[in-house]
Amino acid sequence: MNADPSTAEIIAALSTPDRDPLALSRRRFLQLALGAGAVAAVPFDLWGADRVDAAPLGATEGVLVVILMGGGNDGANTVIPIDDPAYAAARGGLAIDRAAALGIGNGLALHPALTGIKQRYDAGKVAILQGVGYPDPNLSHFESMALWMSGWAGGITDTGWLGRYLSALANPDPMRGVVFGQSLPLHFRGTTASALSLPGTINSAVGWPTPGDDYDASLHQLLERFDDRASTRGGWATAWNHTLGSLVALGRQTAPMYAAALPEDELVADLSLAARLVNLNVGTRVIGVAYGDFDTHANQASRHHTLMARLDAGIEAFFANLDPAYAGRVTLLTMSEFGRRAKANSSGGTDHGAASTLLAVGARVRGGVYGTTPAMGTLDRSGNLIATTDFRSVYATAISWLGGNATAVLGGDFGDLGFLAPATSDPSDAGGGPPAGPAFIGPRSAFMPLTPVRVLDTRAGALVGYAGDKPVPEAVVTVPLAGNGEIPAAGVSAVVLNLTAAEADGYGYVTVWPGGARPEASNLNLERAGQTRPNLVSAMLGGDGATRLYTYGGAHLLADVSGCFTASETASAGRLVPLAPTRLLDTRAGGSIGYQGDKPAGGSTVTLAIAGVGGVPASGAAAVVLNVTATEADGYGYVTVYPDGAMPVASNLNLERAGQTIANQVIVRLGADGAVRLFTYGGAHLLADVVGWFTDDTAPPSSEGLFVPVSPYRVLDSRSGPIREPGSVLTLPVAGAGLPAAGARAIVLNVTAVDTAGWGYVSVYPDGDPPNASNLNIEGAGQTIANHVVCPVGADGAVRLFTYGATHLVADVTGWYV
Amino acid sequence: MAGAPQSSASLTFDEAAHLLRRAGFGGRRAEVQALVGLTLDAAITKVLAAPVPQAPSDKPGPLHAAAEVDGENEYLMWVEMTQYWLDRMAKHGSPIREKLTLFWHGHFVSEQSKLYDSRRLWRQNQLFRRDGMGSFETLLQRVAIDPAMLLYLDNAYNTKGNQQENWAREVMELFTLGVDQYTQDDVVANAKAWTGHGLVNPWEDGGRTYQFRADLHDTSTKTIFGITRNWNGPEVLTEICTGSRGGGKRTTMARFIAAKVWSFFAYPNPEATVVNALANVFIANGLSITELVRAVFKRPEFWSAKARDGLVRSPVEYVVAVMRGVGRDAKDVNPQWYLGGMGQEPFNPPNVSGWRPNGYWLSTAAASARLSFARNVMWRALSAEHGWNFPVTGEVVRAKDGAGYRYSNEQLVTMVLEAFGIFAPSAATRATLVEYVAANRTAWYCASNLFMGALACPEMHLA
Repeated sequence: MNADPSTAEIIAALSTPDRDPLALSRRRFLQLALGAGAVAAVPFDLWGADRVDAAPLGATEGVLVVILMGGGNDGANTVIPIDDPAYAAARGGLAIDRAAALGIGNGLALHPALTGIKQRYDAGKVAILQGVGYPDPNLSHFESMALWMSGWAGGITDTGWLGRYLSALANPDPMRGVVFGQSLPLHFRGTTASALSLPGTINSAVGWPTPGDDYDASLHQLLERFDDRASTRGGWATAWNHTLGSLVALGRQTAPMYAAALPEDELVADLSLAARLVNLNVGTRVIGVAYGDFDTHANQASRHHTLMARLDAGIEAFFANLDPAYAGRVTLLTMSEFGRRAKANSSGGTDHGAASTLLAVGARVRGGVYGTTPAMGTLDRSGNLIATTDFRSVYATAISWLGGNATAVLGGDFGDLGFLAPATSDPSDAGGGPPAGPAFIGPRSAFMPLTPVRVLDTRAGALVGYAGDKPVPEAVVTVPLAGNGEIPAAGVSAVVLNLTAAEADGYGYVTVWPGGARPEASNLNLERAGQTRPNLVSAMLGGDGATRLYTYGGAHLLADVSGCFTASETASAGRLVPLAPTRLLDTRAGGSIGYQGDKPAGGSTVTLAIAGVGGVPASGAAAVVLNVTATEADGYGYVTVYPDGAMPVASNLNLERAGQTIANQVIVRLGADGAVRLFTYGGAHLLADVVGWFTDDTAPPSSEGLFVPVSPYRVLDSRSGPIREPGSVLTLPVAGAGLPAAGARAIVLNVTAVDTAGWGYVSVYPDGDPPNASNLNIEGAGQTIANHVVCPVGADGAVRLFTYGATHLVADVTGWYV
Repeated sequence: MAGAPQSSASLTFDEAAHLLRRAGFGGRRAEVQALVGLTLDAAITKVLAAPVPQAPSDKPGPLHAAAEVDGENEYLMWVEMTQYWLDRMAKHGSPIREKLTLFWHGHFVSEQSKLYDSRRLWRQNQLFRRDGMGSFETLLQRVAIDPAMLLYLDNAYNTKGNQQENWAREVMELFTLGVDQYTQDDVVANAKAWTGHGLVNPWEDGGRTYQFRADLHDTSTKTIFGITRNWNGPEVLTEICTGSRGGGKRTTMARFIAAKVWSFFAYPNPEATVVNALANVFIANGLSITELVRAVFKRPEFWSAKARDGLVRSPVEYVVAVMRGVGRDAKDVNPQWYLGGMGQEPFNPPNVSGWRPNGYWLSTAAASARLSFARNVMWRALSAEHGWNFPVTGEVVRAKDGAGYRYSNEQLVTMVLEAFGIFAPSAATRATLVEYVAANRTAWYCASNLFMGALACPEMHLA
């Protein structure tokens, strides 16, 4: 429609549903199934047969309840920046007294009326989303609300973000989206499907049965009867009849919700109904309620207090009405068209503002504060708080959590704020919060570089640390490491392995773990028979000083150790200093970095200066963490990265054919000259990105940068949802408040690209824009490929995964640096 | 149904009933019968005969008639003018004139929710009623400077150096030409052309008086539709309505309006042949709206099954049909309580593009509102104390004489359907209702639900 929206288009938010009635009717299916002849012959006494077939929730399907706060909620008085001196100055008499506010730490406090939310926050069930808004804020209620309801990258549209989510569902049963109220607001209006609106009460509404009222029951039978007969008056007559049938089905389905008495307050009543609707288990995924008026230009103190108290009461009523069996399914999310002006006005109120605070509440919410709290003293030219979090990133998080394709729904990639853990049907897991942590957590440990040494080779004729035939499917190989070669016999918590699977029998993967139950995790993946694949592994050792290798399919296994970690609360040497990924080497003509000359020929060695380059100090670095990529391979070959001296019998990268591109992470000691060497067996271009370095014994003793090895645990598997879109960024929380790796400076991940859709790469980085560096290279569709990643953790406790091409992503944590 | 009636052929009962439903809000048997036997041309001339009412002196009610309007009464004023208009549609006005007033309201949209003062909407409504069957250009020029539109699309605030494009865009996109029939440069220039066309004071005199402020008008040279000159707003409308050479927009406009009028009276998305033929008639008759509508009714496609089955009654049309069926005014049946739920509050279209047809009206919530309205009407219609004299009451259903029931099941169904102007129900509808009466004849609620069944059957919801 109109690129320059009028108020009128926003009022569209308050109109009734508009959808294809032919998509409405499950009864149409019934008619087709029965056949026309049967329809005409259905006797009267079968009229009451149950015709409802709304599908219940799937095992991991979540339900999002959106609470619209109309008029512009004052975020700064909802979650108060109590320690910001500019707050009291700006708000004057509207400033909430520190003694009354409900402090939650981090310089923040909740509005005094939010007592229930405070308890839920303390229990880790509330995410506070700070500074939510959009650039160039529009101070018109209508236009800003239309933007929020549209939730579209390009601005205002005539569909809403939840409506587009509903429209994309494979089974857009009419019960999928429900709004309480007389009208269908824009955010629930889609293209091919929209939400249904349900009344807040059913007094005298035709369609909802009155128990014991035979007149009423008879009328509903009559209405259904119209839908049983094909009309000769064309498609619209038939559609009307279907609407009648659907109305009666809907009334029958939802009538139980209205049976118990409802609170007087409309919001509390609507949220009670919302919970009862979830309890019906008829497949509802998104529910809308709305209340207001938040437009507190005057007399704000008492009005806002009442509004906050109603929100608190409504959320408590929701959970009081919710069957605990569904606790692991639901998330409540607030939204409002804008916040209020920082400075109070002269009427005891606040005028239209910009950035505001949203709340997400529920068992699967990862509690905490997300986004940056806007400074009350740093305002835009209208005197408003400056947004730090795009509201569509909140939507993206919610849509992804619902299993939707956030990029498609929102018209762009807005990332994932990570405040939601996957929904679960397991009520015992309804505690939600952070993902399950590792089974074992090792001690803080310092890195000790070693000259690469092979500790395992199962190939006949080359056997190392192994006796027997080629490992068969589901074989487990135990590799003793403590005391093996240069590895100390005691105090070793983990090793750095370069693991290679060779001569694979077919599809498979390898999991490395310290012992106990084998976790759901993997370290490298095999796609086809004959394949050879390496990967770096930070492998925690079991109590017996060994690590275990499980192979899903038959394959030879090789392992080279290039370093180990020894337990230590503080250390001088062996502490990681993570770096933003920086490219140190690129041998390709045109992009030459750290190299001059032709493409490295087979058998050649490239010496790469490290000390004093790319953030690595000129002295004091004992070892570096590199992402090494070989590309445009001439044919079969391998790459070995080593400090200096004689080249060890070990490899880091394997190339199987001409033209191949493959990456692997390498942790390697620096040579005496501050450089490392890259030997390539076949001709290939070489790239190397540095992502961190380890201190030597000239550094002061500290715990900073010590490694905490853990048994692997999975923190990401996008395969439960839509594929990651090309050019998209996934925000993966790993080390924020309440997360298993809390306090980590850098995370060690094994990142796997699965079910790739085409050429591309994956970059893992802390925050900001995706770097000019990559961790995984994808050569085509259908690939499954993994790499070891050491990545600094962003300021928000998350790391980001940029995907150049469409792919699913899996990530397992194997440890972190404190 | 046989083929379309020829101009000189005499109308059948079914054809007359179809014409009355589309040209108005449906006919009672006698009204239909009055057209039977007339030639098509004569019948169309008869339904198009609609004297111009006195306007705007007639006030919808005491609140509007009061010298001072109290803003607190906004809702009551809305009720007053809504009921007044519905009554005009049902019986007091000229059906075709009220039907076109409804059409123009959905075309030249303004909303009470943005304008606040209902009197502005009422004056606009009178404008549609007075000018809605005359020259389209006259109507367009008058709507453009009527206070409701000046405020609704913000041209009241469109001044030199501070252009508002809202009206400038919508008048082309939604009111005359259609999307993509102009450029963004045209929009910008048109906005300049309309600068200075505003109100004496939007807020202090009820915003009732249009004025042109030359000092706020941008007199610079502007290029619109490729023509460069010192455009003034009304001249742009004249160009749209008369421009016939080079890039002239008249044909585009005529086709756009013809298609929309056809969609309102016959079915959406008309064939190009229909649109082009109608547009030619429209142009040849000086953009006469009456002649355009006459041409619609004369098209053979208007009499096709596609047209007869092609429109769902809007809530307003449904409410008026119910009012006509029970012979009561709006104040007796209170449709204002239900119209919002049905999705069509007069004076509050959902957005600037107006109401959409057909599927737009079909949702479970809207169906519930239609039926809830029906039930509210039913209780009163069948209760002796209200004295509405509906032909089929509980007593009538139970009435017996020596041979048993006085009326057969079939007769009862026919009586109820005819009351609501359904003279030829489909076999499915008749069978459903007859079976219902047969199975429930002795139940106290048989008449109640027969009444509800008539108001729920698909024929009642087709236009």
